[in-house]
Amino acid sequence: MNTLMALLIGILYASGMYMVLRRSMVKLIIGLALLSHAANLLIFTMATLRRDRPPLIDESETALAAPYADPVPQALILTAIVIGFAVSAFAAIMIHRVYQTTGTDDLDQLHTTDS
Amino acid sequence: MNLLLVAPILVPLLTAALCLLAWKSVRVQRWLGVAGSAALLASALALFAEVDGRGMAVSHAGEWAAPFGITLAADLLGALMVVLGGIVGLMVAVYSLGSIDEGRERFGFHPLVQILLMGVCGAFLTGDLFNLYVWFEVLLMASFVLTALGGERAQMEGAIKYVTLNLVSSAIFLAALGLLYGLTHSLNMADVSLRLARLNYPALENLLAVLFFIAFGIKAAVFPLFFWLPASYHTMPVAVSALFAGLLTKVGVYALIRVFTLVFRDDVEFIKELMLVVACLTMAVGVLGAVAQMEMRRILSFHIVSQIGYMIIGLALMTPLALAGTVFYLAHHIIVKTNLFLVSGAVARATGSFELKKSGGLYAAQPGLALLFLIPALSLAGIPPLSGFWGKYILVKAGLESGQVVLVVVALAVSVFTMISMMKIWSEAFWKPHPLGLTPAPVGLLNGPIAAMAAMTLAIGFGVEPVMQLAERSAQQLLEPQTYIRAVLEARR
Amino acid sequence: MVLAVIAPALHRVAPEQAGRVLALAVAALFTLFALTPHEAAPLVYAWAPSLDLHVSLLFDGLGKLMALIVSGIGSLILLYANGYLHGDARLPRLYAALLAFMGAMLGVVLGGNLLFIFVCWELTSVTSFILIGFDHDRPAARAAALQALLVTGAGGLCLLAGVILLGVAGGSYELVELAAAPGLREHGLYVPALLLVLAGAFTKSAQVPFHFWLPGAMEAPTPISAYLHSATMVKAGVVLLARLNPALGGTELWFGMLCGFGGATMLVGNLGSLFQTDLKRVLAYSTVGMLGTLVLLIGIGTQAALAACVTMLLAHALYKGALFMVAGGVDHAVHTRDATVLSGLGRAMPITWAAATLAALSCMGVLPLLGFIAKEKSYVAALGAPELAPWIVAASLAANAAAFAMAAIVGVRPFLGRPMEQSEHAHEGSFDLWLGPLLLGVCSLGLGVAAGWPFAGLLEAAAGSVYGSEFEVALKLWAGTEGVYGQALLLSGATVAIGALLFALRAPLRSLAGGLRFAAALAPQRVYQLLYEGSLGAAALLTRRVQNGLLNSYLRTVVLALVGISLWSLWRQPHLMVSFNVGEIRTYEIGIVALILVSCLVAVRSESRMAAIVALGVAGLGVTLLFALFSGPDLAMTQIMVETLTVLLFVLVFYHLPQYARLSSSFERVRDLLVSLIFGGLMTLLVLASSTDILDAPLSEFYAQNSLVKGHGRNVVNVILVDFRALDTLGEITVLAAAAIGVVAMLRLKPARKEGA
Repeated sequence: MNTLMALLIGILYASGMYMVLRRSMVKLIIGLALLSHAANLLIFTMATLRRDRPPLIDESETALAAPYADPVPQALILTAIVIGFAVSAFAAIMIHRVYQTTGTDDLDQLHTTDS
Repeated sequence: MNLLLVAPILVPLLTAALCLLAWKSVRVQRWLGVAGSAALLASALALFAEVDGRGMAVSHAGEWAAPFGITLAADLLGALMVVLGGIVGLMVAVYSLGSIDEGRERFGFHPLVQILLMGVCGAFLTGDLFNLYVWFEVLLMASFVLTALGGERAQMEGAIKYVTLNLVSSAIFLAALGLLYGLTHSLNMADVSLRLARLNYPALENLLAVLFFIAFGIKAAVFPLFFWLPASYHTMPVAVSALFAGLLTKVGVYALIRVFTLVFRDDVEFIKELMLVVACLTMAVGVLGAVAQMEMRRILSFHIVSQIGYMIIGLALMTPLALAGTVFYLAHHIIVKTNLFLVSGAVARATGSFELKKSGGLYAAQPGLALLFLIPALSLAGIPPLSGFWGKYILVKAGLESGQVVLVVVALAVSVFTMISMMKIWSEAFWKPHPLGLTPAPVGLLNGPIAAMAAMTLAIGFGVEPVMQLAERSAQQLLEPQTYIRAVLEARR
Repeated sequence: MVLAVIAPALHRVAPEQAGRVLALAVAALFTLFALTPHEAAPLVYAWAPSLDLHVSLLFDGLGKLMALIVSGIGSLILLYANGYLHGDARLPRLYAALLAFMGAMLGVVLGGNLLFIFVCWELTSVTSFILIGFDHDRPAARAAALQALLVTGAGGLCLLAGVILLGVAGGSYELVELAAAPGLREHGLYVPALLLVLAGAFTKSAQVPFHFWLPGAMEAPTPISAYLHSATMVKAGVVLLARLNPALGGTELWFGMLCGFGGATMLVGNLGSLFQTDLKRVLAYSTVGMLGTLVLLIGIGTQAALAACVTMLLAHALYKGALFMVAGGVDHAVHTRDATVLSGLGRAMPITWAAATLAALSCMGVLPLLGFIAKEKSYVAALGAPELAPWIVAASLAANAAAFAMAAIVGVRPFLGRPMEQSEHAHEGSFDLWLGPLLLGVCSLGLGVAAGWPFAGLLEAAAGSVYGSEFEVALKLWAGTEGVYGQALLLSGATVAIGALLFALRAPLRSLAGGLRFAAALAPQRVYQLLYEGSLGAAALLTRRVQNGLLNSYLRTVVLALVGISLWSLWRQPHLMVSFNVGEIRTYEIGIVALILVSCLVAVRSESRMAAIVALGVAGLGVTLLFALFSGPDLAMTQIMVETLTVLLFVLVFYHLPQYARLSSSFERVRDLLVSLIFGGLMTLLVLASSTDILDAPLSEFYAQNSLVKGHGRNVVNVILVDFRALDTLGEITVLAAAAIGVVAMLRLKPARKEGA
């Protein structure tokens, strides 16, 4: 499963990056969202993938019984998801605003200020 | 829990919260901003005094011992950076009193500045890699909003480049973190460092190091990753770009220093070779960009890039002197660069334009401001005995001692070009009569922070000895990470 | 002492009529210097020991001589400036800059620590920049100031590198210790260090081919030209060479470089002066020539040469300073400095005339002035040169003859002959204007007649400090006709004859040399222009290409950098272990993966925005399912919520944006696809290589054991978030808050002046 996940992650990264490299701002945002999926899955895969062993302590126990899914990556992903949401919400609104101010969706048109 | 370490994070957080409570009253927010920044500086100084005396300060958040909780740790470099952050914060807060328009103030300028400072201080103080990511996101988010706040066309064009490239940086950072966790099963920098050493797997370690380099390199604006900086800094209000110019890239540089002196140490040669190439190209490309410009803030923005190259020299050589030079240069640069951006605002206020072709006549009308420009400008160009000269001198000497002739030639040539563009500003904005025959208007309050920072530049220049000793001790710490590791892993509360 | 000079410079900016007071103050300093006996031991104050920087003052013969010149002429110049720019509002700034310069210059001539000398050296460059650009309303003045700064600044950086290398090779920056350091001349760094130091000294002292900035610097008002660009600053390079002679001198390289460049400069400068018509430019070229002579003499390095060098140094400072002030006085009176026009001013300006005559005679090297002694000594030195003596003698003869003619053009001709038109309005300037040149002229005469008294001892000591040990210097007006002295006298006669001839032929020379002058004297100037403009042009070109404003080219560069450096790293360390762990895979899992892949493809390929967004949502759903399947219930919950919100938001926002258009060519698409695939491949490789279980995992172990006991929660992930890593959550909330502010601001705050697109 690890290998399959690795392939999936690679393809997610590739398609995300391809979208980011497009000239349309909409595609850019979609690309960034794909990249963040890829990153989350990557962290998730870093823990040994286990089926049906969620890191929840049973009522009868005082500690998590092995084998269990590594809780650390899950905690990291949770934080990352929320941050990612905040970022993409802001980015979406911002792109909307960029379009309003500049009247274009084409990033190549936005080169008037660099040099 | 050591309160000193937490204060530089909590003080701005508290200030930001108070500002949000006072959302309706811009006046209250202003003074909260100044007071909060002053408090931050005070707490930073207290922390610095502690670290200066003991060498290290470590605190485990929530009393969870390392590596299980999040550790905050300040060595001399970290503490110094926090102090500099406090200085820049305070200066910009004061400066913004007289320069930020009310529209921006009504929509969160002051709390955002505080959140940014919180993120910056957090990044300087954390000893945990994922926590570093979180602080990066905090400061980035605040900076995104500050970049886009106001929404003029140029600003939006700059903002989208700034935001996108930094998001890519964050994505790479996150991936690198995940991979590193998969490899070492740890997040605490000190612990990761030990575990990587145990693993002894340079092929993979170097690849991860490359990811970290790209992620931090984008933030530090090194070649060939710097594009977002010259694309955006000149589009923001001056107070914002001064804040960014002083602190943001330096967080990237700090992260590079931290990671490559503490975490990735198995194949130092690789890091050195990489950094050597990067340093040379960054210095050269940055300065060439600067001399091609005719707008004050663009010139200054490109110079940031160029000077980041100087700061990378320490990592390229990894000798005690070179790292001391890097630390020295960081301190010098933060103060001088922030100040030059503040001056550019004053110049634009007085003459009506940032464009050099459209300004002029300041030397005759305002010799005081002229002097205040000349001090940081000459310092930036490395004229003795100002602070920039000592930074340059130390780095050039370190380069010569290591026999890196190309590096030294580039560094010296870059300093000629820096001189050219500083003197271009001087010649056009100050010496040349104003093209429209206007007499520049007085800038009033703006002079205060500018003068204060010019005084600091002079102080570093003439009182070079204590600063140099501090830089040397700090470099010593960086080259002996065992002390840091032991302090973090063994400290109990 | 140095600080004591800089301090008033800052202080005295305010008062208006301060020129005379300041002049007196500096004169007092002069007296102080004069009364202080010279001694070889340096005075040391530690400034920054960890940088080997000490303020050590070397008040030996050379130091004292130069300090006297700097302060003495400085005091007269302050007075002169008061008259020259009377009533000018910028006068206080001029004083401030002049005094700051004076302090820095004293540091250069008295410094005993190379690093300290360098600090002062650069300060003189900067103050010179400010002073050359004094008339900053004129573009020519600004350009000349920048040119001087860049040439001397670039040289200064070479000097810095040279100084550091010397410090490495000799183990110290202290001149005294360097002179005593054994084996310095055989050290591997000797040659590069020497060449770098020479580059610094030659640019500062305007040696060929760097001399062009000095005539350009004549854009400055005359007091400044007279002081900085004749009497003092340009001597800094010479002084540095003299200072380093005991440590570095005496090698073939030293002799060759100094004699070669010095000799060439001597000829170019002195002969070049004859082709000029502007009095100040004439003088500037002649100064260049004299600097060449001084460098040449140091290069020869014999006792006779060094004795000649210090004598010449003093004589030149006296007469050239005077001639400059005369030229300024004339300019002030009749508003022209054109040597072809000036004539018959003697009657209207008798005092200036007298001063000019004395100075010119000294410059010509006529008995009984100090210039004569200096010239005789230089001939003796040339005759006694260890190598190439005939060539040096011939060159000196040509140079001195040209100097003779030059002095006649500047100091004699304007005052004789038929009165020119403007001379009717001509009048003697104020006391401030004529006192300086007259005093200097009288000094030239007095010191000549008295054979150097009271300076004889000092000159001897100065020559001694250049040589490295004391030796006897016979300062006599009439040295007799024996041996070399006779030959020297003969040469002097020839000098006068040829010089007179050159003076008579000055008009045809000027016209004849019209074309030649540009080729010979301005060539380096043109090289400078080409270099300056060329590098600026190249910079602009490069920057337009690199910083082209196109976001996707920036992003591509970033990805390429990532991939490229990774490949480099792999090439260095190829031993990467990749483990394929296919294990057990269930069919529905393959289904989910396929779902994500397909929606990914749709999102990329879709021609419609809405379809792409929906596909993105489906991909997110697939990720959610994966989380749920592999024991991440909390993740799945959060992911599905966030995904829903995101998709909703995107739909709302993008509804207003335009439809997709085909923006990039097929080539660009294929190229980007390739870049992306390599990037994706790299990430796959990294995932496969990194997901190892080589090391234990104490973190999860700890959390598993302690989250209920110490963290009081059964959901370990939650306990980690709110307790073990609470700081992360704090940051996370802050990010949300900042984003919320951003969203509100974006929606509500509109730019003040525009109505929006």
